[in-house]
Amino acid sequence: MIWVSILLAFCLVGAFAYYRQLTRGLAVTNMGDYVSWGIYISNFVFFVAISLVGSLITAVLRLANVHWSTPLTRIAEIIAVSAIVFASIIIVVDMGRPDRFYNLFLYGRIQSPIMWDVIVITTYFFISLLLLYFPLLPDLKILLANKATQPKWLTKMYTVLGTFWRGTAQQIRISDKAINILCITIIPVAFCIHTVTSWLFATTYRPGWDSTNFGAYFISGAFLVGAGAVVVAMYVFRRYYKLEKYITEMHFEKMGRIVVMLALLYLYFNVNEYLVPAFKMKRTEDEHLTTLFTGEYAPLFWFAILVGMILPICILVFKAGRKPLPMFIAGIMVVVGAWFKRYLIVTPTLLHPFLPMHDAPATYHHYFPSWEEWAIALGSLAGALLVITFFARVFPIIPIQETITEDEKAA
Amino acid sequence: MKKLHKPKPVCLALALAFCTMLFAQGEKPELSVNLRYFNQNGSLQYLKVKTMVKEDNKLQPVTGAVLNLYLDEASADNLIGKVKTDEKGEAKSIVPPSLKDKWATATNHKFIAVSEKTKKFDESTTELTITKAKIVLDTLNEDGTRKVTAQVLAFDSSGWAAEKGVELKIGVRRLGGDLKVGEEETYTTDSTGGASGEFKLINLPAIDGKNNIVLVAKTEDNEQYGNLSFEKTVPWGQFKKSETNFDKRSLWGTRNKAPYWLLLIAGSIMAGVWAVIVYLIFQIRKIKKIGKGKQPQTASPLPQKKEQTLTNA
Repeated sequence: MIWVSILLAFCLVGAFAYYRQLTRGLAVTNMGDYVSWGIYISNFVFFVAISLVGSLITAVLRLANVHWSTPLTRIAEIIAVSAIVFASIIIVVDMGRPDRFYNLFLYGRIQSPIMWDVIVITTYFFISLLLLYFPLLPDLKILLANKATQPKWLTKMYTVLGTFWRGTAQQIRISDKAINILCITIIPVAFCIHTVTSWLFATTYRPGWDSTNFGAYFISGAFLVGAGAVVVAMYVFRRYYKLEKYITEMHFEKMGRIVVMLALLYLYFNVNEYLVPAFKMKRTEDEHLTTLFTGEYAPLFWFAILVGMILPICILVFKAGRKPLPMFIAGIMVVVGAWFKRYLIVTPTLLHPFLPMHDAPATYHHYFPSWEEWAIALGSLAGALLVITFFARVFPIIPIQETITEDEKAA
Repeated sequence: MKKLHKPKPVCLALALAFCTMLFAQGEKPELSVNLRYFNQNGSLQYLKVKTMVKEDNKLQPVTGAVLNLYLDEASADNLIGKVKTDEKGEAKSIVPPSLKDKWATATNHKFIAVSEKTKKFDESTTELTITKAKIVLDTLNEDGTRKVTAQVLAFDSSGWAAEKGVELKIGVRRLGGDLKVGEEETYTTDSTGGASGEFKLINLPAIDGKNNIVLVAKTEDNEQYGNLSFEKTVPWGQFKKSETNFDKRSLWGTRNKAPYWLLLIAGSIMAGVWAVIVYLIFQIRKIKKIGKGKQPQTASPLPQKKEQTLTNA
C-alpha cells in the first residue's frame, strides 16, 4: 500500500506538472532552440530500450530452447508492455500541442523516421500484448478455479479474458503455435523499434549522433537495461511473493551471466562511439567530446560508464556477485546508469550544433530541466512501475502452467 | 582705480575643466575615411565611403558615422548627399541629377567627405580628385576568334580623347565576382586608348535562356579616374537548364511524393507484420470458439500444491 501510495503521489505531481505544461505551453520547460529534445526524449529512449527485454527473455531464449527462463517470461513481458505504453505517452507529453497529434496520421510522411517510430511502437505494443496474453490463458483458468478467494471484479475480469480456455489439446496446439509465431515476429520488430529510435538521432547530422553504428549501439544498450530491470524485478517479486522456490539462485546466476555479457557488449559499443571520434578529434566533435570527458557533463558521463557498465561487470563477473542481493544492486546500477546514459545521448549533442546560432543567448548553451520536466519524467517512471505493480497484483507473476509443465518435464 | 577681482574657485574649476576637455579632445582617435568614385557605363555615378578607426593596432569599421558628401566645394549647393555608415562602416550615395550642370562645366572634379563631429571623433575632411573619364566596350569576331575591346576616354577642353597607359581589367560578370576573359589579369591601353582581350571562355553558363552573358571592362581604384566600368550583354554563353528534383518522388518530398520503393518496402513490412497480428487475433477467436463448444474440465491437471503457491503469488 505504501509503495502504491508513493507511486500514485509521483504520478499526481507529474499530472499536475503536465496540466501546467498544457495550460502554459512548453514555456514551463527549460527546453529551447538548442535543446529542443530534453529529458522527455531521454525518458522516451529509456522506455523504448527497457521494453526490448520482452523479446530477449521471452523470444530469444525460447527460440534457443532455453527453459530455465520460463518463470521470468511474464516479468519480462509485463515490463515490456508497461514501458512501451509510457514511451508512447512521453512522446505525446513532449508535444507542445498534443491536440494536434492526429496531424501525424493525416499528414505524416512515410519518409520520416519519426513516422517509422510511430508505426513500429504501435506494432510492438500489440505484439507484446499478445505475447503476454497467450501464455496467460491457461493461468486464467487456474485463477478462475480459485474464485472463492478473489474479489468479484477480479473474477469478472478473468472470466472475460479467459473463461473459454478449457485446456483441450486443440487449444494448447493453437496457443503454442501462436506463441512461437509471436516469438519469431517480435525479434525483428524489437530490433526495428530500437534501430528506428536510434535513427531519429543518427539521421540527423550532429556531433555525437553522426554514426553508422547507432542501431547496434542502441540495441545492445537496450538489452542491457532490460536485463538489468528484469534482475531488479526478479529480486523484488521473489522476496515480496516468497517465490524462492521458482525464482532460484540458478536464475540469478544465469541472468548474471547474461547481464555481464550484455554489459561487455555495450561497453564495446561505447568504446567505439567515443574513442574513435576522440582519436580523430575533428573540430566539430571536439567541443561535444570535451564536454563529456572533462567538461560540464563529465561527472554524469563517467557516472553512467562506471555505474551503468564497469561496476556491474566487476560485481557480476565473479560467482559471488551473481547471488540475489549483489545482483539486485548491480541491476539497480545498470538501470540508473542507463537512464543517465540516455540523457547524455540526447542533451550534450543538442548543445553543440554544427552550425551554432548567431548571437544565441547564453542560456541556450546550458540545459537543466525545470521542476515540471522532472515531475513529469518521474511521474512517467512511477506510472510504469504502477502498471507493473497492477499486473503483478492481478495476474500471476510466474507463468503457472508453463513453469509446472517445465518442472514436470525436467523431473 | 578699481580693484581687480581675485579669481574665484568656480573660475579655476572651469579653467581646469576646459583644459581637461582640450586634453581629452587631443586623445580622440582619428577617423579614417576612404572615399571612392564609381562610374558605371558612363552614366550612373556614385560615391562609396568607408570609415575606419585604429583600435588595438587593427583597423575596425565605424558604424553610424554621419558624413556629408560634396562636389568641388563644401557648400549646401554642392551637397551630393548625407550618409550614415552601416555595420561594415560603409555607405553609398549616388551623384544627384541636380548637380549635372556643375559636373559638365569642368574636366576635373573634387569630391569632399566631411564627417560630423561626435563624442568619439572630431570633424574630419577627406578629398578625392578625379578626371572625368569613361570606358567604352565593344566586341569583335576575327576569323572565328571572339575578342573584347575596351577604350578609355578622358574628357578635356576639346571633348572626349583617348587615354594611353591606363590599366584595366576585362572580364565576365559572374555571381561571385568577375571572370577574366583570357589569360591576362590586366590590360593597358595603347595610343588609341584601346585594349583588347581574346575571349577564351567556352561553354560558359549563360544568365538567361537567350545565352546571354555580361562582359565588363573596368578600372579599379585608378588614381586619376577612380572606378570606371562598362558592361555589355552578349549572347556568348550557353544556357543550361538546371535539373531539379522538386516535386518529384524523393525521400525529402511531401507525403504524396514518397518514392515508390519506400512505399513498397515499408508497406510490405507493415502488411506482413500486421497480417500476423490479425491472424493471431483470429486464433484467439478460434480458441474461444473451441472452448465454448467443450465442457469445462473439473480439475486442473497440474499438481495442486505448486498451483496454489503460484496462484497466491
